Amino acid sequence: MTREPNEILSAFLDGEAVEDLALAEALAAPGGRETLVDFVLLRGAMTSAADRPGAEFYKNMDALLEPQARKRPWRTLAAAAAVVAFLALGVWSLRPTETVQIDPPTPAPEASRTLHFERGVDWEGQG
Amino acid sequence: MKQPTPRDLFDRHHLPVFRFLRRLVGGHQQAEDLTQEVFLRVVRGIESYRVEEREAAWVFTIARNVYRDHQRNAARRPEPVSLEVAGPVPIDPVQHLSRSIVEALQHLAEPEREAFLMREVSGMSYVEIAAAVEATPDAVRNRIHRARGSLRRLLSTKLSKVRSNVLKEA
Repeated sequence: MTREPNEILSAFLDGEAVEDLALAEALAAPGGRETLVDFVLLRGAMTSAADRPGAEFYKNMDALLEPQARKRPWRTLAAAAAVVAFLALGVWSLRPTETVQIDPPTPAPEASRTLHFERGVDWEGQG
Repeated sequence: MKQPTPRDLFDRHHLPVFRFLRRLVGGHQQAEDLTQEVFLRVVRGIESYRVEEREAAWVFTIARNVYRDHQRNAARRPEPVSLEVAGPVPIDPVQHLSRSIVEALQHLAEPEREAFLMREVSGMSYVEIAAAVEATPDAVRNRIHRARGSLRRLLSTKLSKVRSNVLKEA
């Protein structure tokens, strides 16, 4: 694919692969050197070491990001604690039970009346 | 590969994101607010991030969405006067050039401006930019080239002044 000389210089400045001969021709073309210098100047004017957020920004971001860093370990710890508690409960419920001492049964009281049911007698009708 | 935490992503990408947004919106404070919003969304969306994705592309996709939301909201509000742009004009031609670029960038088509900023202030490769803007690397190369050409034309007077100083000193 044929590219215009300035496009080759632009790609070269960005560290992209360009053909050696095409680059040499682009640089040798009238205005080629000036074009490359301008591209470099534009880049220099775009970036500045002082171009960074202020202290307040970093304070806000720390507040936003720090809980995230801590949240996961807490979640993991909480989950681990729940598993341990569950296992402990299981072990406790399976423990050998104690022997319960039961008192001997008390004797039945003496009978105060005796009922006799005889075959053929309508005991409801007689009452 | 280990899944990065939001803190990892912040440490690695907050400066490129801030500088990208700073050049798009112009104001320092606005850029800080938008960068904060980007990483708030990173925190909320980290579960959807897959390690095999390109990290910078993923973060910059969020940054683009935040910027677009900001633009939509700004369209509903009256435009505030930026004190930073309205401040005293610097005497140093290089500084003057830096200030003028912010204004010149507004004249570029959005795809060109985005690609150019991702490359120049964020140091992303063509492939990373292509993943972030859903285009091919060839299209990205072309957009960046067109952006440089347009900026060169828009800033020709200032550039030639700085260039002649540089070449004289060389």
